Parts: sequence; structure tokens; C-alpha cells
Amino acid sequence: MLCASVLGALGATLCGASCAGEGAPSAEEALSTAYGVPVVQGVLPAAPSAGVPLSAGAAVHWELGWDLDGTEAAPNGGRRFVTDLGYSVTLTAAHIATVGLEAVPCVTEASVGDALRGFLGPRTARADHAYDHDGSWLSSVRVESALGGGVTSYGTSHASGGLYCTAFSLAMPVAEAAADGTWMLGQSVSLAGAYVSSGAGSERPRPFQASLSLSLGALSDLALAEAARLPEGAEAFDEVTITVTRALRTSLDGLALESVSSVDLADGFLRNVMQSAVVTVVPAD
Amino acid sequence: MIHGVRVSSALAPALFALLSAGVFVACGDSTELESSAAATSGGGGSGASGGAGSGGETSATTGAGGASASACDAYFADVPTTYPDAGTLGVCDGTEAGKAIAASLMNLDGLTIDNDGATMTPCVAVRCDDTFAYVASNALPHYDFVQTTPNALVENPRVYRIPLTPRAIAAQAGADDASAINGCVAAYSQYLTNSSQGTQNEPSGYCQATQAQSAYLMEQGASGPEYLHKIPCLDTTAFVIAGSPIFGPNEAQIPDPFGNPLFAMPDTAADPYLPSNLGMAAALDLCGGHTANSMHYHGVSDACFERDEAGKPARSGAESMMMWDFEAALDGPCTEESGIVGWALDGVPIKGSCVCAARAEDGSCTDLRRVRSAYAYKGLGAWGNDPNEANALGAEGKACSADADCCSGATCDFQCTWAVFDDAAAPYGTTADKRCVLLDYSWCTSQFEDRSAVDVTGAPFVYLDRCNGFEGPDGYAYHASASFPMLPGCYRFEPEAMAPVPGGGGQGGGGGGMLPDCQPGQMSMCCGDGVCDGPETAQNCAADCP
Repeated sequence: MLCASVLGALGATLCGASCAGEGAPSAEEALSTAYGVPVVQGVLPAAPSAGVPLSAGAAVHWELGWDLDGTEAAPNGGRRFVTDLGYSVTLTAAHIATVGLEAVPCVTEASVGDALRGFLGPRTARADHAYDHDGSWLSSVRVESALGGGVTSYGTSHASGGLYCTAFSLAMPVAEAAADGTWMLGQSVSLAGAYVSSGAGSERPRPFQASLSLSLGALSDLALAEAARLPEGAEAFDEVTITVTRALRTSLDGLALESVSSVDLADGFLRNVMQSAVVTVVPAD
Repeated sequence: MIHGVRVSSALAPALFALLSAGVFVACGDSTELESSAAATSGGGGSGASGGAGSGGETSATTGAGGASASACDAYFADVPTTYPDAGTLGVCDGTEAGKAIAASLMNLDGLTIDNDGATMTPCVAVRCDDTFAYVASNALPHYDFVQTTPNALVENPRVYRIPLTPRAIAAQAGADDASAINGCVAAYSQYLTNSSQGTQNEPSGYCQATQAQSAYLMEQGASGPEYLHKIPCLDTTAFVIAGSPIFGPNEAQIPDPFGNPLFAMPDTAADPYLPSNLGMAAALDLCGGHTANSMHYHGVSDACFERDEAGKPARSGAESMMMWDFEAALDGPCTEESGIVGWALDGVPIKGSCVCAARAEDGSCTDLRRVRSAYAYKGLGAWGNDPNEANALGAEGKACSADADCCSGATCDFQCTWAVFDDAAAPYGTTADKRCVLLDYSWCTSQFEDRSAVDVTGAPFVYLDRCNGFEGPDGYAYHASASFPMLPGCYRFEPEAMAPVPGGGGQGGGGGGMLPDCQPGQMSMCCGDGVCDGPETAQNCAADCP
């Protein structure tokens, strides 16, 4: 059990100055108290730390997207781009297998208490190994090509309700085909392409193929659309669309392509694309 | 629900600051929290990792117990507080044991890892006094973190203490007779009564669930009674050579009560284990670890802990995990002797799953074998004979090739996976096979049988003892096995600085809060059913245990 001073200290840590209202609490402050982190009613800031309030049972429409900015079309449907280490890369195939998406509630005072117990080690029968998914967790196997761009629907789930700060996406090895007919057989990511080293001039492209049979998840901050408003008198949104957009241009950043193993190449690609995700929340009209 | 259990990297320093400031000491119920002091060095905070990787030799892997700069060095400053009887700490070159411990640790010099886009710096370092080795770690893995749930990875600074010379366990009058322990009867009853609800504490009695329980086991050896020390059911039992803690062979109460963590492992890295495992949030990475905020291991895949000549990880985490092969780890031929993968808190090394059972005079290994646990999966059904048992446990032990062969749906508690089973027709009494196993109550579904008298001459494996240890030409060591208990299942020697266990009655806490009130229909393992059983004691349930 946490004593009040600890909770207060943690609350201050979490809330910062915006939690320190004086006098009678405003509606915003009341909401903040309820959620444990700042909530601003009316025009919600895009700042991820503010959190997105969703009502219990709120419909969450999930979308997966690819940002191809900084890349250009290459023959045979491929995409060409330059990495941060100067490699000119042409990807001719790039698929990843997404198996789940979830909106993750913000850290609140209560959940910090839970976290502390897990953090300090198991002190009750529950060791906090487990994660009980929020109602917004949507599990569906989807193999996508990273080269086509655009946005596709992933499905709809219903939030448990509360204030949400991040989205969790999970990739896993699957046995499933992509829309373009490419099969993933026990893989979470599969790549093919070629690269030319920085300053290599007329060096012939060096082909590569890589795949990975490991799981990987990533948390990304939720960013509420700038003009989003809570309906007057409402404390939470009843319906939102959450779009998870990954960037292709940075997908091979940080990788020394001459020396990296094919496994680490695929692992690096998966980490880069999942961790590059920009997650936007657009409330329904 | 533990919504929002994610602790951001921004929050972690605040948590450490609070810990360091001793804020929790003032809290009413200190039992839950203050125990961390024994295992956590406290000061340093997350900032302690800054500057790691700089400097010359690693403090852990100079091969002679040498010491040099490591982010973990700062944690030793707290040793006089954490271990008031500690002597003067220095490099571990004064004893062969100290040298061996120092030489075995992973060289993490210059290594950084990815944690969901953030760069973190794992560290491990060792110092010795005349009696003990002190191993400091920030409990980060030595490979890029594989996040499979929103639960975050955070640093967890700690200093373990292990004796340089393992201390024999004296006769213990209050030791539990291992052959007479029957706590699993309550688990059986609970499962048949309401399989969706678990017992409040680990019920078996083979591990220490509460301080009210005896910490010792007694078993009859060839020359009389032998005394062993239980491991805690839910806490640190040992540590890996990269510094993260090792926990016992069971999970906590949720989602599968005190279940076997290994049963969630896929057959190979390429085995798509969907969709049933998606709800199994406790899934281990393919090195055997996962995070409950702090990284810890329930098993060890040898490939992940192999080191190169400099003592550094032999390969990347992804490459190591791609080598995972459940059947091979359990029953495959060995090609080379396993190295040390960790140390138990009693000062005994933990080695991988390939053991040298005999050596030639020149030291070369002449008998290389896979280790096999002497625990066999017998199922929860072995603890009762309810006439309706088949309704709940009918799938147990059934041959299978996929999870769907066991059961299906949200209430399915069985998994088709690899384990060791009794087999009277097998040459040495057991077989490694893939069958339907219950995810719950790992200590109850797997049972130990003393197989030391089994003649395994000609077998590709050797049997381990109750603690998952083996006495070989190099002495006694625990081993990592790909079946229960995976790592030490008890201590053969007196453990040092074992972390406090939950529910302790001697620290001013406890009370009735540890046990839930009985739910409708629940007649065991709860307070209010009029029966003093399982974890119930006069301290935590006076109503049932006057």
C-alpha cells in the first residue's frame, strides 16, 4: 500500500504544474483528478502527454498506414531511399506481419502503485508479469507490404474507458499471405532489395534478402488531431479512428549494410518501422 | 486489470529518487516495499547508467577478478548499508572462487541495447570480500529488448551477494518432508471447483510462498535425510551472467495461476504461435526472459549466453533467439559443453544444458550429455480422483500436434508443447514428447522422482537432482533444462541474502489482507470457508485458523 505522500509525490511528478490548480476545481481539474493526469476540455492539445479520454465501450477504428515521404519509386514496384549512413537502398519487397493493436491507458496514480509493486519485485501473489489487455486490444493477423503506401483498415475494437496515452502494436511470426500474394511462413518480417554504399560511385548494387522469425512490440504516443474537441459536456470520446503510420525512409537507418547479418538487418528494419510509428487519433464527427 | 502499468523512462528516475530517499519507510504497511532494500542497492537511480561503456576493461570479465570502470560500480557504495556485515570490497583475485565468478560474467563493456527506441546500457560488475562475492547489475538484458506487451523495461539496480564457499545446510527440525507435501491437493480442488480462479498463493509447498512456511525441504538420501532450501515462489533465486535476476519456474497468479512460463514458448522461432498465445502476456522471449518492468528469467537458452573470447555476447540477441529449438534444447544431441549461464544465491554456478559427465586425464571431455530434469509432467490430475475430473482435466497428457488438439476457446487452459513424461517403456523411464499440458500450477503438474539409481549408461542424457543440479567431474552445478524446473528448483546449499518472500508475518505486515474472502462455491485456499488450509495461517486468517 502506498502512503499518501508517495502518491502525492508521484502525482506531482506526473502532473507537473498543470495539476496544481488553486481554489475550486475546474471541470478540467476535476477530469484531471479523475484520470490522474491533465485533461483539458474543449480544444485538446496535440501534445501526447495530455492523453485521449475514451468512454467505456468507445468504438476504436484502427488503421495501418505507410509514410513513403523521402522515398521514390523504383522499377518493379520497389522504393528507393538513402539511409542516415548514406546507403542508397532499393527495396523490392518488404512485408511485416502485424498481429495486434491496442490503446494503452496513461499512467495514473493507481497504476503507478501497481507499477511500483512490479518494479520493486513481486510482493503479492501477483507479480505483474501479465498484462490484461484493454478492451481496445484488437488481435488480427495482417501481412502488409511496406512499399505500397496508403492506409488500410485493421478493424474495430471497443475501449475499456479511461485516459489513453499510447498505442501498442505487435508483430509476430505468422503463416499468412499478404494482399499481394506474398506468403510469410513463420516470419514477422521479410525483405529483399539491394544497396550501394555511400560514395561508391558506380559500384554495382549489392543484393540482400533478410527475414526474421521473432516477435516485437512497440509503444507510440497518441497524438490527437489538432482541431479535435470534446463535445460540450462530454468527458470522453465515444468513437475515434486511430491510424498507425510507419515511415519507410528511416527503416534501415543505423544499419551498416556491408557487415550486418541478415537476421540483424531484418530485426533492425522491424524495430525502425515500428518505432517510427506516428499514431494519430481522429474523433468521429 | 493493470492498466497503465507502463512506467515511462521519464518516470523511472522519479521512482528511483523516491526509493533512494527512503520515502517508503514511512508508509504504514512496509512489508510489501521495504524488502526491496535487500536486493536493491538503492542509490544511483537511472542516471547511474550514464557513462557506461567508457573506460577500459570491464569490471566483470577481466578473467582474474579485476575491476575497472562500470556504471554498476556505483552500486557498491550501498553495500555497507545493504549488507552491514560486509568486509572491505576489492577485486576478486584473492580466491579461486572469486576469480571464477568474475571470469564468468558477461563482458558488457561498450554494449548498448534498444528499448523501444531508447538506448540503454546494461552493466554488471563484481567485488569480493573474504567471504562473499557481490555482483552489481542494473538488471537489463544484454540484447535488444523484445517487447511483447506494453509492460516496459526499466533499470532495476541491485547487488546480489553469494558465498565464495557454499555453506552446507544443517539438519532442520522443521523441514517439510518432500515426500509428504500435499499442497497441490488444494490446487486440484480449486481447479475442479472453479478453474477460472486461482489459489491466492502458490499452493504446492515445494517453494516458499509465505514466510510462515518452512524454508527447508527434507528428502531421504542414500545415507539418510538430506536437507535442501526452498527457493522463493515469486522472487529472485539466482542471476544470469549478464546480471538480470532469475525467478523460479512459475508465474504469478494471473493469467494462468502459478503456471509454467516455458509452456508459452513456441517450438522454434519460426513457429507461428497464434492466436492462442496472444493472450498469454507472460510469454518469454526466446532467451527465456521477460519483464515485469524489471527483466528476469524463468529459463535460459544456451545460445543467448554464449560468449566470445573477450567475454562479450557471442552473437546478437536476434541471432541467438532465432536459434531457439524447443525439442533440441530438451532432447537434442550436444556438440559442446555448456558454459556458466548464471549463479544461484547459494554460490553454486548454473551451467547450460550440455554437461561433461566424465573427463580424460588431460581434461578433455569424454562423455558429453544433455541434462534431463528428473521432474516429469504428471498433471494436476495426479493430486486427486474426483469422478468428474475428466470434465476439467481430460486433455491432460493427451498426444497432440497443435494446441487445438487439446482444447479451444477462451477457457482453454491447455497447450500442446514439449515436456518430459514418465514412460515405463522408455529405456530410462522417461520420454521427451509433445503433449497437452495444463498451463496452471507448474509445481503441481510436474513431479520430482529420484532417478539417481537409474542406470543411464549409454543414454544421451543424465538425470538431474531435485534442485536441477548434477555432480560431475568439475563438481556440483545447477543446470538449465528445457523442462521444469528449468533452473534451480531448490538450493543444495544455504542461500545468501535471499529476497524476502511475500506475506511475511514477522515484519509487522501480513494480517488478513493476504487472503481473499471465499467466493461463492470456493471451499479452499480462501479465508472464510472454516478450513485452515493452504496458505492460511493464524496470522493471515484467524477466522479459519484460530
